[in-house]
Amino acid sequence: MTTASTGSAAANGGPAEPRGLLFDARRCRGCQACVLACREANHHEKLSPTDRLHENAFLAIRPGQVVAADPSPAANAMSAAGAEANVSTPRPRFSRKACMHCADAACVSVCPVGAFSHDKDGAVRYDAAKCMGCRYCLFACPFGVPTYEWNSLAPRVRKCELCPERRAAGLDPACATVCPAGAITWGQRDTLVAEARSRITAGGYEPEIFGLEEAGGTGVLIVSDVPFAKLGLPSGLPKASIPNLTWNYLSKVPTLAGSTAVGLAGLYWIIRRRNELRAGGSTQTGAHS
Amino acid sequence: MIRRTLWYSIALAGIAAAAGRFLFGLGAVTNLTDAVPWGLWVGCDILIGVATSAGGFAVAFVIYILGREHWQPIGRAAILTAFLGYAFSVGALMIDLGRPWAIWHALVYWNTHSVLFEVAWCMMLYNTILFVEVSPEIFGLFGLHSVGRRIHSFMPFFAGMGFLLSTLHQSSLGGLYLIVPGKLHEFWYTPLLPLLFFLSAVKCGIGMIILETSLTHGRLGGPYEAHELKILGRALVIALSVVGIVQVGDLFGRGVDFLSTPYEYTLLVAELGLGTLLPLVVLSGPRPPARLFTAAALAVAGVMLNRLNVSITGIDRWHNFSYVPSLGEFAVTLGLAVIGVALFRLMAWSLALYEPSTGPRVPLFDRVGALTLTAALAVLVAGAVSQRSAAIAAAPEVGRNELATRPDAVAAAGAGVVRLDTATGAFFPHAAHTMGCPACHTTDYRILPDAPRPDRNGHTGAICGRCHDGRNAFAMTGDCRLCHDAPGVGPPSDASPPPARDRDALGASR
Repeated sequence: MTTASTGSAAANGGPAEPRGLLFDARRCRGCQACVLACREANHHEKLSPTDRLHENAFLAIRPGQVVAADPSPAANAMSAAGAEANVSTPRPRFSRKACMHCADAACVSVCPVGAFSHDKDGAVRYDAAKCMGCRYCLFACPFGVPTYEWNSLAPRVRKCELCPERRAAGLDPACATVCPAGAITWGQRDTLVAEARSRITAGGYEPEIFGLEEAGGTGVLIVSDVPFAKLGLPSGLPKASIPNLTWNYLSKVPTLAGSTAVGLAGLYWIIRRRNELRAGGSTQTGAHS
Repeated sequence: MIRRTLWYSIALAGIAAAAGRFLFGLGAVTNLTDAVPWGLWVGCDILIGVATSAGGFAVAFVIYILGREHWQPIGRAAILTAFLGYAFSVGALMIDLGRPWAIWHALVYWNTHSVLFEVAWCMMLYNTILFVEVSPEIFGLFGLHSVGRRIHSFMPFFAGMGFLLSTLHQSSLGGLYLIVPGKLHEFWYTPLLPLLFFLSAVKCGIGMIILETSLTHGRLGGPYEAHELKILGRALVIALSVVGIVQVGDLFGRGVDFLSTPYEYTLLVAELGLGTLLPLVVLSGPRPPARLFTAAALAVAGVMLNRLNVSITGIDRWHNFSYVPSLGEFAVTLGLAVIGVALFRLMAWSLALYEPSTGPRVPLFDRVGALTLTAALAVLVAGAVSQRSAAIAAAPEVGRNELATRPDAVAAAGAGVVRLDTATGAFFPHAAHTMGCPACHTTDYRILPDAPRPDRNGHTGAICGRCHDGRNAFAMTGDCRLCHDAPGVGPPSDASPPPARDRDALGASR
């Protein structure tokens, strides 16, 4: 019997220096260069003219809601004429829809065969060789991140794995490398948190960092100048680790099983004893009621 | 004859749909999506199949642990029902799994933090025990009675193991849903999910035993076990009350808001009203066989509705009501059910589970019962459908930026070459820049502040350099004439697009 990961980052303690991404929704222009770079880096099937960009993509740029009153920092920096002409331009916002690389990921804990695991950067990896296609991971992810190859006869789960081959070669993930707006930054999580805080302090941002504590903390952090709900990010996420929700129950199962077994054995023995005594104490086999 | 044709057609449709799934993939036959990875096959076939098989472990417990031997005839039928019910669930599972050939992986790859891992193991072991419990009859068919008797002598152990394993996996199927507090509606999401699933499984099991005992008398000519059925009636009342108290107590204890989601509220009321309250009302007076049958049918239907509510209704709002099972999903579900019932009849007959009864058939339906069941079904269906439509109409529009979905908007807008600066002759050809309008424009097509503009210095990183940095597009250090045609710079022969990547940012090749 081989035992894969214990299936819980909390049990493993997590990597010493987690790394991740900082996504800045204020800078993102929705140009989708990251989506294209991701597809190329992950050896997606060659695009044909009839392909839609998001076909089989697991990094998507999701259009959020159009929000009014957008004082873009770039406008203010350029010239007074430009700034006052555009200070209340409604501008659509975009958010990155891809794996959040939770520190204690739900997918890692729910997969019955341990196909998901955390690597040394804390990124969540998927091993198709173990997968049997139960799709509990798709169901459990609070961000709705994993995609499935529904039209394949040997379907895999596909999702961002933070470009493991590029990381192994010392490069940044493809999306962070290519973003022309500087909206995606790769680095040590502590550094990214500090960077996020300094942007917030400088002004023009929502005061929270999304992903700092959501779902127990995620490897992908998001800052934004509009409320996160307007970006299409889920609200009301617990600030605690998701796998605890099932572990609170599952950890009691051995005790439940043991005490039930003992109870059943005891009950069986008592009743058999009682029947034997009854049968031995009368001249006829007792009628069971 | 018509009925026989109907059953055969349904079974064939199911087989055809299953074949389609294996030939063309899950996407071709189901309406499952990334947002809805578990649909009818998981919510109905697997969850309901397992719940309705709970009678097996309950009766085995009564016979072999409590020592009530005279329940044997009922027990044999209940265990056969359980065996076929699990076969139905596992059959559906093999069709639903994306990579069913890898199902054995759970034996060697362990994730002890996964509830589904525990469910898989408990079900594997329990199915083995069910098979062992059915095997003495099967060995008897081949005349190997001594083998059958040897196995039978270990029955208390198997019954105990079966009770234990069933308790674990019936509750753990509810435990699966603990992981999605944000997704499952608060009517059904509770830390008590495992307990509720276990209690309702017991209730369903009792109801199923009543139904199958009554039906084998009514349809297959078996005996009507009046004494046992009376006890089962009392047990059903207890089970209904316990489930009702725990479920309703939990709802009030958590302080759920009942009235702000009418669709889910309708289905919750249906589940509690038709599945718990109404059978209690039916059982509150005298209990002739027809009343007992009606109450049991309502109780079982209530548990089925609960499983559907947890797995489908309860997450409907989260994915914006985007899922309705496909015909293929219905076909496999109904086909497996029909085949399961047919197998039950075949095995009941060949294993001689019943002494044929003499005497009149006990009526299982009376007018009140039939009317109650029909009315309940009609109210449920009408209420659910109308409320769901209303909920869909009231749901907020999912935010969409129309520019992002119109990649050919440049051509459609007739946007051509824009002169950026007369002094340097900088120009901007729209045709070469099809990454999507929102990169530079607002929804009403006004220009964004940091888009290329006539009075900006394009070489700073904030403007053209955002993309023309050598990575996303060619760098600005090469041939000036790619973007400039002022005197002294040298005009290009025409304002043709500069050489770009071999694909535009939306993936179409040039």
